[in-house]
Order: sequence, then structure tokens, then C-alpha cells
Amino acid sequence: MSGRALLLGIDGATFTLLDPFIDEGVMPFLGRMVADGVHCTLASTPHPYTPQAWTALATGCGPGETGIFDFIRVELGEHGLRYMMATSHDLRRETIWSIAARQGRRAASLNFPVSFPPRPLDGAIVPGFVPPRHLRRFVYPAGLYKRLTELPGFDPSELLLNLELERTPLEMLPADRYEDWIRVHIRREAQWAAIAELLLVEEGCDFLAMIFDGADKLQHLCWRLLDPALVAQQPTRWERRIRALCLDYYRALDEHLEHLCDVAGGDARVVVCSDHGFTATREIFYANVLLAEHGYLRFSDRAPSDAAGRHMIEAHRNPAELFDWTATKAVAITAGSNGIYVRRGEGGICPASYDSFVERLAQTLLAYRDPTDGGPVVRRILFREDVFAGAANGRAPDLTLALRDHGFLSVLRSASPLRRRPQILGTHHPDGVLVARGPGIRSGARIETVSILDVAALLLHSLGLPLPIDMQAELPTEVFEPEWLSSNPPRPGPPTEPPAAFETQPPQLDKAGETQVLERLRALGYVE
Amino acid sequence: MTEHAPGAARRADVLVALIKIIEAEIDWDIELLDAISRDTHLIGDLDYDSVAVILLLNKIEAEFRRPNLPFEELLMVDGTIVGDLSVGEIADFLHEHRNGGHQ
Repeated sequence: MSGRALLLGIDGATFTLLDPFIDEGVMPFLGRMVADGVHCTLASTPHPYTPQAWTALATGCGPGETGIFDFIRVELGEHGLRYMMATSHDLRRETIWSIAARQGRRAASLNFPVSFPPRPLDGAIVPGFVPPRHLRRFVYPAGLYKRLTELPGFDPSELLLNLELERTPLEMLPADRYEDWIRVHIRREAQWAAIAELLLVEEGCDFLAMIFDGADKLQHLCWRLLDPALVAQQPTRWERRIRALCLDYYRALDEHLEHLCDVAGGDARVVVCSDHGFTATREIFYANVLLAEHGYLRFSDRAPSDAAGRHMIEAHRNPAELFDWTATKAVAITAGSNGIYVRRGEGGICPASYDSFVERLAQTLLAYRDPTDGGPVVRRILFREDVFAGAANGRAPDLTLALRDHGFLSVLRSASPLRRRPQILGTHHPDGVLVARGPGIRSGARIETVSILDVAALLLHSLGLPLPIDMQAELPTEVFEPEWLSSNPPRPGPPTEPPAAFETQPPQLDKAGETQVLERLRALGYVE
Repeated sequence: MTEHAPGAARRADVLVALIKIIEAEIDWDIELLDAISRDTHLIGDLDYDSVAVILLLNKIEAEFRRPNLPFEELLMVDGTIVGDLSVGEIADFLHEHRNGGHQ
């Protein structure tokens, strides 16, 4: 089996938008892919959240095995709150680009979360979700960065996570900044597409996986202007202008998809998919306010009260100072994870009391009612042992909340546990999308829902590679033509490489002094 | 209390190793007017941003091969997030947590 495999990820893509975009001629290439290939709903991880979902797709394993539950690594113990950025060191399962590269397929990964520091492979890594100033260090191989700088329009400050740009919560973005904000994302995707083309053409990558993440950003902010069910029958001039600009984004994205497929060649198997879908959110649930009312936590005297509908304090800032840790046993730390962490050890809950404590906590959350309509706000509680079962679930939240409108909770203090949003925003939905096309793939078929884990198996099989026996992913056989599949059946393969086998290059102290210093420190017990 | 010479030598080794790590982590343009020392502050003197501080702490864990250092003790004092860290504070923290425990 020959030919390339291409994963073109669109963060947050949903048929709620893609179907009308295809019908209205906004995304004609994607329409041809649907007509010529296979499409279906792609079921996200139990909590549809970008770091969990993309790493699950990239490894073919659920978050309980990958160890990735958030962009932030959270641990709550007797020392208090540990709040560190999740890095590739925390990813406990091997990625499909690493698996492919080990077996002779030159591979590239672009804009994936938790992909820095890069793990060496035969190929290239340009990580996403990092600040621009750190890009040069994290591009692999080192010489690739200079070539990126030579690309027309290359601008790291727009390519990557710009903390100044991202610092303003979307719900607080003033109307006069929408246009510039959307245009940044149009330019950002063009940069990623150019990098992908460079790696396909000049580096001859057999497998390229990339994420266009602008769709997620646009949909969080502009959902009310995009969802056909919500678009005003008589939009204002401003609403028409912003919606038109959003459609320009999707048109440009469609062109990038088409161009990269052309570059990859007709024998490439292409998968376009998302990590989760999207829907509307109309309210904000301040989970910690409810927990405080029931004695599970205490806000510190310095914790401000939010009246603006925000979810977190400013991006990446440790929220630990919001809470009085002498009186906090359960707390929501990060908004995106919708997770409640139970404190263990001294000052927390002892093992013998854990089960009853967690059950009582879950009942408290499920029992909360909207004072206006009397309905339950927490639709479902996901327990760690159930949805994050696996060898790497030690840092998973103890409880994950599924809210009635699929929204993200707020960790902040507020006058009441529930507030209506001043305007509708977009939020994540479990139903993402998968569209696949290429040799051996069925044509014009809509198939049953596929799990996001199974995309890994689909891509590996598309490269003619065996499926590691320790991968949770299963090959979605309905994607393929039966005759082709019978001639190219899936094969089980050796297990994936454990994390220790592909740790990054050895410690990088000054080479002249490294060995001597470390040996001395090791002897003295400073270094294990 | 005067520290014994061997203890002082251990602290010095930690400081040397730590400074090398901090220097290696700087991948942004900055003009260092003075050599990095105990009194150098990450944010005020070296222009570390909040993400770089987190990445530095990750790197320290990796370089010292001590994955569970309780950095929260360093980053929060009396319930307040510390505004900036000096190299000396980090070195003292590492010295106090040698051998896997608080000394």
C-alpha cells in the first residue's frame, strides 16, 4: 500500500455549519470531499475539550491513558495546588506521527497541543498553543525554523498563541475589535497552510497531521451570527459585516484544504475532522460558588466577584490565590476541563472517606436548580474512574460536569451560582465531524458515528502500517470499500513505544560542565 | 549560624546548575548587563513571562530528575501568588528539597 496520509484538523468543526456552508457554496471543496468520500459524526472524548480530544486522536487512546486533561497540569494535594503547563513530557502515549516515523514514514505534526518540547523523529514538528517567543526553540528540527522565517508573511506573533490577543476573554471583546480579530485568524491559517505545503513539497513528508484552530475561536465568539437557527432574520449592518467576514474565513479555509490535497497528490488518503462540535451557550455556571455555599471550599478574602460572565482569571494565571486552602476540600481549577478536584492527604479527604465524599459532592451538584425555571443545571456527572479509566489518570479531575447547555463552568466568585449571558456564545458539543477521501475509501457514503480514538487507526492503516496492539483505537472498517479492505486487511502490530523510550534529548546544561555538576549533585542526593 | 563548608559547596553546585538551566531557557532577545546571580529576578531582570516561568520549572524537574517538586511552596506565600522569583530563592528551594524531602 503506497501513498500519503493527510490529517487536516479543523478545531470545532460541526455539520451544523458545514452543511449550510457546503449548500451555499462557501466551502465547495469540502462539498466535493463529502460527495466523493465518506462522512460521519465524530464522537469526541467524554468531555469534548481540545487538549483531551486532540491528544486522544493523536494517540488512539483516551485521556486516562494519555494523561492529558487540560492545557494545564493540575495536582491538588497536601501542599496545595500545583499548577503547571502541560507539555509533551506529560503525554504518556506515543503519537501516530512518532509511530509512523519509526516505521519509515516521514511524518510531520503542526499546531497540536502538548507537542512541545518536540520529541525527535524522522520528520518535523511545529507545536501549537505556545507563545511566539518560544517557537524558535520548539520547532523540530532546529534548522527548520530558519526556513519558516523565509516563508512570505511569516509572523510568529500571529501564528501562535499570542497571550495579549488571547488574554481578553472572548465574551468581553468589544464590537469594534471583531474585524481585526477575525482577520488575524484568516492570516494565521494561511501561515499554517504554507508551513504544511513546505513540509509536503520540500521535506517529502509521507504523513502530515495539522490543526486549523481558528474555527473554534470564531465559533466561540460569533456562534449567534453563524448558526442558521440563531441568525437574526433582520441582522444589523454590523452583524452582516461580521458574518460575511467569518464566511471569508471558511472560504479561505476551504481553499487551504483543497490546495493541500492537491499538493499531497491523488493517491493520498485525506481525513478532515474536528476534535468536537459546537452549540450555543446562554448561561454561565459558577461551580465554586455552589461549592462554597455547601462548605466544600472557601474563597479567599481577596477573591473578586465576577459580574462580567468570565470563566477564569486572565489566561494562564494560577487561580490558587482565589481560595482559602485551609478550608477547601473540593474545587474547580480550570474552566475548560469542567473538572472538580478533590483535595487529598493532610487538609483534604482521606482514602477511606473518598467514595462517600465524592458521592455527596455529586449529589450536591446534580441537585442544584435554576432559580428561574427550576431545571437542573448540571445534566450529568462523569466520575474519574468511569470516563478517565487508565494508567495515567492520576491527574484527572475527580468529577467532570456536563452542563445542560454544554457550557464551560466558571471558577470565579460571583453573587450567585448561575447567571444569564448578556449574549449567546458558542461552546463545545460532543459531535464533531469526519470526512475522508482517497484510494480504497467509499464514495458518497454517510456512515455511523465513529469515535475520535479510531481516527488514529484509520490514519495508520491508510499508511499501510499495522495497528499497535496496545492502542485503544479500532479501525472504522465502514470507511473503506469492502473489496479494498479484504485485499488490505488490518494487521495487528507491536505495541507503541513507552514514554521513557522517546524522552527528549538528554539534559541540556552547558556541555562543558554538565557531567561534572550533575554527577556531584547526584552523589549528594539532589538529582535522582 | 555559619554553614559548614561542605554545605556551602553543595549550595554552590545547585546555584551553578540552576543558572545554567535558566540561561539555556532564555530563547528571547535580551541584553544581560550583569552575569546571572542569586539576586537576579526572573521577570524583572531576565524578562521571563509567566509561560517561560512554568516551562523553566518543568525543565528544572527534568534536569534534576525530580518530577514532583512542590513548586507551589515557592510560588505561593501566605496565600498570595509570588510576583517574581529570584535565582537565589529557587536555588534555596532546591537545596531544601534535596533527597526528596524538605530538609
